[in-house]
Formats: sequence, C-alpha cells, structure tokens
Amino acid sequence: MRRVWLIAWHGFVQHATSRPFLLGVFLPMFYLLLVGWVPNASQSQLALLGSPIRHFAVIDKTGAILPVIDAALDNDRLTRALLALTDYADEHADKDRLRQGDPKLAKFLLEGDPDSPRAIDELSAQGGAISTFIALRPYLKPGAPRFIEPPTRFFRIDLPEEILASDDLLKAAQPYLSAKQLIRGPFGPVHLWAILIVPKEFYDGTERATYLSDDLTRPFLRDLLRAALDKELKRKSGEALSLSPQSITQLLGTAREMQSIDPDPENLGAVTGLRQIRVLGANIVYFMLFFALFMTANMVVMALVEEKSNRVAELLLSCVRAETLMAGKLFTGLLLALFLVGVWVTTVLGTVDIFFPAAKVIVSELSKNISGVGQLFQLTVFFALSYLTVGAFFLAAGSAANSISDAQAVVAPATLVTMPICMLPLAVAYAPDSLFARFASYVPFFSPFTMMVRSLSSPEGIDVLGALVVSLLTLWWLIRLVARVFRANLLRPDSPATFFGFLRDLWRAPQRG
Amino acid sequence: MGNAVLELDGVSKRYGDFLAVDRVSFSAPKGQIVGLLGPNGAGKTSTLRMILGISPPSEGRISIFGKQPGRAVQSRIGYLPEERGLYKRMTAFDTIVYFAKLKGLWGRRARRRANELLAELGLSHVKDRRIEALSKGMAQKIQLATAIAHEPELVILDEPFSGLDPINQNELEAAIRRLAASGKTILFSTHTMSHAERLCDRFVILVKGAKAFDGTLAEARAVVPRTVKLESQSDLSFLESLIGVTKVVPPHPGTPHWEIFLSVGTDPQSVLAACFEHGVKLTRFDTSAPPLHEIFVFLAGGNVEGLEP
Repeated sequence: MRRVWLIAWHGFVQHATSRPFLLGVFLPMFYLLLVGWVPNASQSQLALLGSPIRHFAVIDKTGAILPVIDAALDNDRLTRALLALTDYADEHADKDRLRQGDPKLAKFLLEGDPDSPRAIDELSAQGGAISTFIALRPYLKPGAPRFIEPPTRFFRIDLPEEILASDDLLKAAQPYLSAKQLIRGPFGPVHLWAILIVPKEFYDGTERATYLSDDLTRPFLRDLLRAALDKELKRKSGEALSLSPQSITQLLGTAREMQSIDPDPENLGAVTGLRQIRVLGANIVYFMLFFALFMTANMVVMALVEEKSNRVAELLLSCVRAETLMAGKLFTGLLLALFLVGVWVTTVLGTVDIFFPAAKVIVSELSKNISGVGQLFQLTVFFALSYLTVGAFFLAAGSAANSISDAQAVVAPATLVTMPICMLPLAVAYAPDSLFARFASYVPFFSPFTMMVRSLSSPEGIDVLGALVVSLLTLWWLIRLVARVFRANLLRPDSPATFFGFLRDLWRAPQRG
Repeated sequence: MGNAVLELDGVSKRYGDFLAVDRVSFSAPKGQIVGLLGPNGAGKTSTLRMILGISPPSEGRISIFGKQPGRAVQSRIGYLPEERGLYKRMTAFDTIVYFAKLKGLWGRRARRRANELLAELGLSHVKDRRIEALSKGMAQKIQLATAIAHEPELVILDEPFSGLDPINQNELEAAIRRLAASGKTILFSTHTMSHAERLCDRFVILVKGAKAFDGTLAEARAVVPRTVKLESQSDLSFLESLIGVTKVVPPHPGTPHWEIFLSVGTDPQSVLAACFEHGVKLTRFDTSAPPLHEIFVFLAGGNVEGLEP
C-alpha cells in the first residue's frame, strides 16, 4: 500500500504542477469571469446611454385629451420612482432607526403599498422621489449607494407638419414608426415608437381611439394610454351623471391596497423555479464531476503511454508489481480529480463572491443540493468509485498503446463505449427517487454514476448501501480483470495497438488467469 | 555453482510464434561481473526482463537468491534499463529518492543515500537541477544511482554504455568496478565487446535467442581456433602439412606477412618448432590471444548484426 501511495502521490505532484493541468484548473474561472462580465459590461454601456425611452405622439382631435395623457405619464413616473424607492429603503435603510426617527416615513416606505393611488398622491405631496430620498438619507446604513430615480419610460413628442398635414396618416407615419426615419425629440433625433389618434367623436362613443406602432408585442405604452383614456371616459360619465368633481375623484381613486408577501424570501423564485434550479444544479455538479473524471483519466493514460514509450514503466515494474503500478496510477487520477473539483468549486464560489455578488443567491440554491458533511462524503465516495471504474478501464486500454497516436486509437473508442454509462444517470436528476433511479442504482457499472447524481438529493439508506455493495463488487471484478490486461500489455512488443485488440484481450483475460 | 546468486535453467520466452529466448541456462556467482553478450535481437533484454520478474518465462526456471523472480527478491535487485527514461521535470535528488523509496527505503535513509550517491558520482552540484537540464552522461549516472540506491545485492545493467562519450564510459566502468569490489553481483548486457572484455569475469553469449557460450575469457579463447602471424622472406608453405594447421595464407606480393590458422587445441609453439626445424628465419612470431570480438564472431557464426568491437 505504501508503494501504491508513493506512485499515486508522485504522479499527482507531477501532474498538478504541469502547465496543461494548471490551465485546466484555472480556465473555468476565466470562463466564469468572461460569462459574467460580458453581459455586465454590455449592460453598463447601455446604462451609460440610458434606459430606452419610448417616444410617442398624440393626435388629439378632441382638444382635451393631451392633459389627461400627460397626467398619466406623470403618474407612471411617480409609480416607478416609488417602487424603486421602497426597494431601496428595504435594502439600504436602517429600519429600526427609521421607525424610531420618522415613523410616518417608515410606514410609507416599509409597509405601504407602492402601487396604490394613495401612495402616489402621498409621494407627490412630499415633493417626489428625490425629496423623499433626502428625508430618508439620515436613516441609511453606512456605505449605502445614492438613490437613482428610474428614468422616464415614455415621452410625448410632437409630430412633424408633413405627417399632420398628410391625407394618408398611416402611410406618412410608416417610415418613422419603422425607424427608417428619425423624428425630432427634445434632445435630438429619436425613434417614433407609437402614435395615438383620438378622434373628435371619442367622447360620444361613436369613434374609437387608434394606436399605431411597429411593435405591438410590447404593450406597456398602449396599456398606459388605454388606462388613461378609460379613466377620462369614466370622469366624463360621472359628470354626465351630475356627480360633483370631488365625488368623481373619490370614485376614480377608490382602490384596495394590497400587501405582497414572499413566504420564503431566502429562496429564489417560485417553487417550480426552485425545483428547476435544483435539477439544473444536480446536472451542473454531475457534469463537473464527469468532466473532471474524464479529463484526469485521460491525463493519467497519456502519462502512462509516455512512461511506456520511454521505458520508465519498465523501471517502475522492476520496483513494483504491475498491479501496484496500476493501483498507483488509478489513485493518481483520483487525487487529481478530487483536487480539480475542489479547486473548481472554490474558484466558482470565490469568483461569485468577489465579482458577482448578485449571483450568490443562485449559488446558495445550488449548494442546497448538498445539505451536510454526510451527504458530501457520500457524494465523494460514489465519485471515487465512478472514477476507479472508468479509470481502470481506461488504464487497461491505455496500457495497450505504445505511442500517443496509439493511445488516441484506443482511448477515443473506449470513451465512446463508456459514454452511455456516464450519461444515462443524467435522467435520474429529474426524478432521483423514481423507480428507474432506484433500479439504476443496483445495475453494475451504472450504480456509482447513478448514486453520484442521487447523492445530490436524499436517497434512501438501503439504496446507498445496496449501490455501495454493487459498486464495490463491480470494481473488484473489473480491477482483477483489467490488471491482467494491464500487466500483459505493458511489456508487449512494440506493435500498433487497436481498440478491438484491447477488447479481445479483455475477453481473454479470465482465461489467462 | 554453489555460491550462485542467479541461476537460469532451460529458460525460454515466446511472443506469439516468435521465440525470443531459447532454452537458456547460466548462472552468476556472487561478487562477479557477468556479461550477457549478443548482437541486436539476440534475446538479451527479454532474458533480463524474465530475471527481473517483469515478464514470466514461457518455459524453464529462474532462481534468484534461491527464490523465484518477483516481489520476494525485488528489493535485492537493482536495474538499469536499456532505453533510459526519467521524469524530466524532477530534480536529480528527488529522482533518486523516489526510486529508492519504491525499492523499500524510508524517507530519511533514502535522502541520505541519494546524497551519498550524488557525491560518489560527482554530481552533488546538480542535486537540485531538473533531469531535463542535465547532460546525457549526467542523466545516465543519475539513472545508475536510481538502480543502486537501495544497495541491491544483484545489479542488472542493460546496455549501460550506450550513448555515452568515452569519458563517461570510463567513469561508468569505474563505478561498476567499485560495485563489484563492494561484493555486488553484476549482470550486464552489451553488444560492445571492449567493455565486456575489460570488465567481465564471465560471459554468456546469446545468438538468436540461444546460448552460444558460457564461461571465462580464457575458456572462450580455448574454444576458438588460434591464428599465428609470421613475418619471413622464406616460403612457409610447408606448414600446410603440419598437424593442427588448417590453413596457410601466403603474403601479398612484396610483403612478408603470413597467416597460419590452427585447429582448436593446437599449440602455436608447434609452428615455431617446425620453422626452426626447416631453418626458416623469422622476423615476427605473433601468437597474441584473439580479442573478444573475434571470439564472438566465431561463436556467432558471422551473425553479428549491430555488434561493436
């Protein structure tokens, strides 16, 4: 056992300090940074340009609608500002101090319904979002960022004379609506997003308003305009019913306040979303382990081929038995794989923590796949058994090779042969406690891989025990078999190796004894 | 042989239909340097691998220290393979320590031994240098150090001199002599006859997998027919009738060099006596013993591909 460890540790040090391995260790961090930074960077650029503002025009043939539309736009701006302010207060305000220092402001920002008309009126009465932020500032936590009011979403502009004077409005507006031509906005040329035409007979109810836009899939502006027109019609109806202006305002402003509660604020998304993240997490973890497994197994095989071609293998065989050498090589790969996974996990956690704190909640959800040390140990054991199963097969295949090209000829088909064993358990991730999953846990060769995935949920103890027994027995049988091929292949005269030759050797191995 | 460290008895090795070693028997007495000689493909490396237990013999029996090759005797054998390969990124010191540990030495002793060997081989100054940064001669000495780090009783060297310059060859020869002087038994294979002639106490000559000779240099010379070189202005054709003379080669015109070939066991002095009887005046009488190369060529029946004098 001491010699197995000596070979394993020596191989581990040799590989772990080699450039290709270090590249494999740290590339994921680089990819992660790239994947995280590119969208962030592009979003930053967009932020510099400002959020998109939809510019639209209104052709008001009634002569009374424009103030209504402008009031609706003002209301929309205030609503969004209040929503942003309440979120900001929730995250950055020292709530206890705020409640003690300014109970009214605390109630307004922390407990109010930001969507309610009353809250909008109150914000308006306080002088808008910026004035409210100034009132909130003494109660902010140290280091809280400045509050930035969300920019206006919709901006009303005037149409050029050529459109207004045209007999065919639709045709005249078409180049502007499709952005082939820009229209003059308040700070330069802009894209005309939509035109609202309110006919003269709109109040009579004989004609309806028309909304023109080149993109009807994004209905936010249309809905806002429709709501404003509806409200105006209701006001007019109230007047027709001889209601006083106060009564009409009261009627239109009547609304229930609604409280929004997240039953599990620590978790991300809905219950179904959580489950999807867990399944995704299981798949990600499995793929990571799977990749580490094949990468390190290939590295060890290639190193063995090199040792064979430069006769170091012969020197080693003069010191230890072939079985000892094989076991040493297997454990080299296992150490490398565990090291690789450890570095990857640490790197991902560190990268997220330092560079993408917003993604912590996702990492937190993913990490809930492993709830304790026991489960981590179980995962490690089945990962090790999976590695040893695949690694033994690969080493036996690699031992037939005398050169790198030989190794490719043998190991590449060997990879394809073992692929279903490694890939099929992925289906288990969607239903880790299903009958199929339980059955696969007891099938030789599939067992450790299936349990690797199932270890990310909470498999029944009997399944863990059963799979452990099946995996160990399979491994014991496989190692005995491939050790014979390994021993015979290591010093075979230098003839080109083939995959079918390897399979033939494997088939004949039991007869060799 | 009573004090034999190594004994092979009718050992054969077959790879498929190819017979690499054919019923070879020999022994290596304790403390002697035994040369395993033969041209390329003679079966030397296959024989050594069987002795090391790396590959089992197809037939026959091998005994090392009275035991079968394998785990029981592995730590008592040191091996230097023919094609040298070490871990290029390891330092000289770490390389020796690693193989010493694999052979059973524990940490502190392995490190002490590595330091001793580096000093003995004059390589202390490259102790922390990587193998890839060493010259070929230095790397070969490190390889020898890995073979003997655990102080084996039997040292097996497969073509130890190949690829070395004359200076390094001499240094390696000296190292082998030191090992033998310290009581180690050394078995080395070579196809360079001059090294074997200088170093070996005994020879085993393999030709096409089969043993062609096993014994000392004196015994080898005794089985090879002698040649006598004479210089004389007289006609020496009369020697053809002398018993034991197999052939008389007359000199080229204008030169006095005669070559007289004798049968095995014929004493060259009989040629000298015959010349005196005939009143021949000789200016040269050379009966010097044949070099090992000639002995080998004779024993191999001309099958000497890859053989070096």
